[in-house]
Amino acid sequence: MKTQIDIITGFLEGGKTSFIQNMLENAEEQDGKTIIIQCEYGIEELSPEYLNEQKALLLTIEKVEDLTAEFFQLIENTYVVNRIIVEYNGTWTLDKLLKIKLPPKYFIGEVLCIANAKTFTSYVSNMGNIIPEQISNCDALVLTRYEKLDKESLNAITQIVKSFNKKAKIILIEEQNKINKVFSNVYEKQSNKQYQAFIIIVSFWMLYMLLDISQSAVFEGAFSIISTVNTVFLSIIIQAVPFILIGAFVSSILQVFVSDEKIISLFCKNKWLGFPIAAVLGVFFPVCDCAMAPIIARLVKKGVPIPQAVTFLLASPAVNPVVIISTLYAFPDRPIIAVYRIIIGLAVALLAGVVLNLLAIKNETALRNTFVQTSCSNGYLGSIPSAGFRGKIEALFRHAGLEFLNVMKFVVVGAFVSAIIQSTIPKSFIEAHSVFPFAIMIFAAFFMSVCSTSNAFIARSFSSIFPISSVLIFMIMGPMLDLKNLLMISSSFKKKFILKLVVILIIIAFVVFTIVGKVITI
Amino acid sequence: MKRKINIEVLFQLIILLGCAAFLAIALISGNIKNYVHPRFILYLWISVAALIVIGIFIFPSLFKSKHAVHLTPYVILLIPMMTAFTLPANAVNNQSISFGNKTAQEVTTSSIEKTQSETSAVTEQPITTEPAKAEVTTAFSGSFSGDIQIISDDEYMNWYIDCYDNPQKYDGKTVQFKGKIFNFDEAAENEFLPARPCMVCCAADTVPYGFLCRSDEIKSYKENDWIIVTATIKVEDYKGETMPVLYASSLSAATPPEDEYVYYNY
Repeated sequence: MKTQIDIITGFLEGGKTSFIQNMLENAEEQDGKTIIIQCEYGIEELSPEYLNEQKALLLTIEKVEDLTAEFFQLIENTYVVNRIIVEYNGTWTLDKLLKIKLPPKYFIGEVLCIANAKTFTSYVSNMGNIIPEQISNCDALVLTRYEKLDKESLNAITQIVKSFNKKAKIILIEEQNKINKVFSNVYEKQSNKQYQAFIIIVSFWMLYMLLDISQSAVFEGAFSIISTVNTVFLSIIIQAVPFILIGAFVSSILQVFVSDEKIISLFCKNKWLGFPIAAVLGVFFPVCDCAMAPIIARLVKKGVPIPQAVTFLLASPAVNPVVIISTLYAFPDRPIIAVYRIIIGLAVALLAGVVLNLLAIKNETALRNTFVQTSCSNGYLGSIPSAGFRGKIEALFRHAGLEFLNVMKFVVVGAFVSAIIQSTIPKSFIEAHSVFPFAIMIFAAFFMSVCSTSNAFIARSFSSIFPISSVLIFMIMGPMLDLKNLLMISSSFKKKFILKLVVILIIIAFVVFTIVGKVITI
Repeated sequence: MKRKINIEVLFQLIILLGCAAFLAIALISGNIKNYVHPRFILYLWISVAALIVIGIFIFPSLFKSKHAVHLTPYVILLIPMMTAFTLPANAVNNQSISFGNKTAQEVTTSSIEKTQSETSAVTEQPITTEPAKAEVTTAFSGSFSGDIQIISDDEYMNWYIDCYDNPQKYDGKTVQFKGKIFNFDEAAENEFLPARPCMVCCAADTVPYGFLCRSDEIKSYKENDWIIVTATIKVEDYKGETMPVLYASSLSAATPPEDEYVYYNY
């Protein structure tokens, strides 16, 4: 029989002690003692009589250094233990307890963070990295004294918690049955965790075997398709890696070195001047559009209003010097196409910005996590130092790493879909549908995942079949609607917002290009 | 005492360093050119360095224990790494990527115009191709005297561009080069396209760069076979376009060149 250690953490006055009482009273009858390891003194003391009645024993730890492997070994040697509850000190990092090598019979069960709903937000803002560390480690956040809070504040708390730990449950203390649920199926969960990595490795091994089999002559045809898809898939990713790293580092520099106020004032000095500024700012980012997604997410998190930020994002491929040069080379006899690309690209970007402005979409409604103090874009990676130049450099690199990993998973999904579509849609498809150039070009823009810096060369190959206005749709809307890019910004923005943006863009594109089609006839 | 490690950070390190390792191996072996245009090589080396440095900075967190571990996002990232290390880089089969590239059909029918615009692009472009081009011009103008001019794998791109740029120069000349067979929809029975897949940016955007070629021997070869073509160039009208057309005197099977792709520089 294994002994479960549950950890109850959180700040003073959160209600840890009464929560533990609750746990004791709701526990099923068992042999052996319940050991309570108390790491600080709360307001409510557990009286000896009460403990006796609950078959519990109280041990007190005063210094974090006393929490050692030997300490737990001593407990095992001394007592017949049924379960252990650690009332942890809210000012110690959980890492100190979690890293202890426990006796073989012991395992960590649930980690619960108890917090007073009324003071939670201010604690998170003021206590630096301790609360984020605890939340990132906990299975559930238990909120006490929540009754007087309105729905909005509760939502805010949920968002904060989710920004540190996506899977953490939030439990309001009155809901007793939920608490019991947290504690049930622990054994199952424990085995899950231990074998999760194992299962992953086995599944990869099986994939490898499968590929091995597919290499045999029988499957040669299928293998050639798989390997083609794979080559396209990897080439899209490899090509994106340098640019995403640039984006991740720029985003990281903005986060670590540039204050929110500076950035916001750049975009928002004047209500309407912000748009043209945002539109031409892309001139200074002569990189592939893959780099823009992390940058834009950081700008919005730092408080730049959505309409301006989106204008910046959408206009950057139009004014990007590298894009302009590549367009000139792709259509050397028709330099006017590059000019159209700049003008129409800027027009679409500005219109989209203005429409978003009129719809009054707020950053809070568009962002996944509105909690700006979150030091990381997603998840929590230990304490990130920010003091001193050395600390800042360390923060810069770790940030960039997290941002890179965070965005890459969306690139992988996008590249995979694009690779499959590019490799399976038959050659005749596009000719067969040349009657609906708008729809087919928007479709191509979505799925082709070709960088803005090179899509002019692909667009040129359409120019023999499609009118020039349709080719422009592909070139201009491609980087704006690209599936991979949209997935990348979805790492920070809500799906609903992205869907809205896509619909707005398609409508704008339809209107703009209908006009363009009437005006341009070369 | 053995320390517990944070599996999440372990996965992050595997991905960052695995990615750096794959790129470094591909860069050193030259395999990277099957995926992306050589102009990315410098960027990719810098990326390798950046990934390693990030890995070094993340490494200390490996020993910070964590209770709530979420691995699913990292599994997604492991998939391309698995396929990168296990599957070979395949020269992308033209037939299958034709969606974006119009391939043979487009090259022959209406886009000769396009190819010409391409050539002028290169002519006008001062820095990158000029020296190479000058070389080509001297190489070709001197030695065409009725003999067979052998175009090496490396010279192909420059010759191809020059040939569409100044077709008259090559009218009546005999050349020999290596190419891959592409078919196109409106091809007559003896027509095909010996070409080299050309990469603009990455394997997702290759376009075959080749010539309309006529030969009865083509029946004994399949699409995507590599062949050595010995052919005489005639400047002709084909569906309204003036372009060089090859009349092959002989075709012979060949091994693929070291670099299957040619690379378009702009």
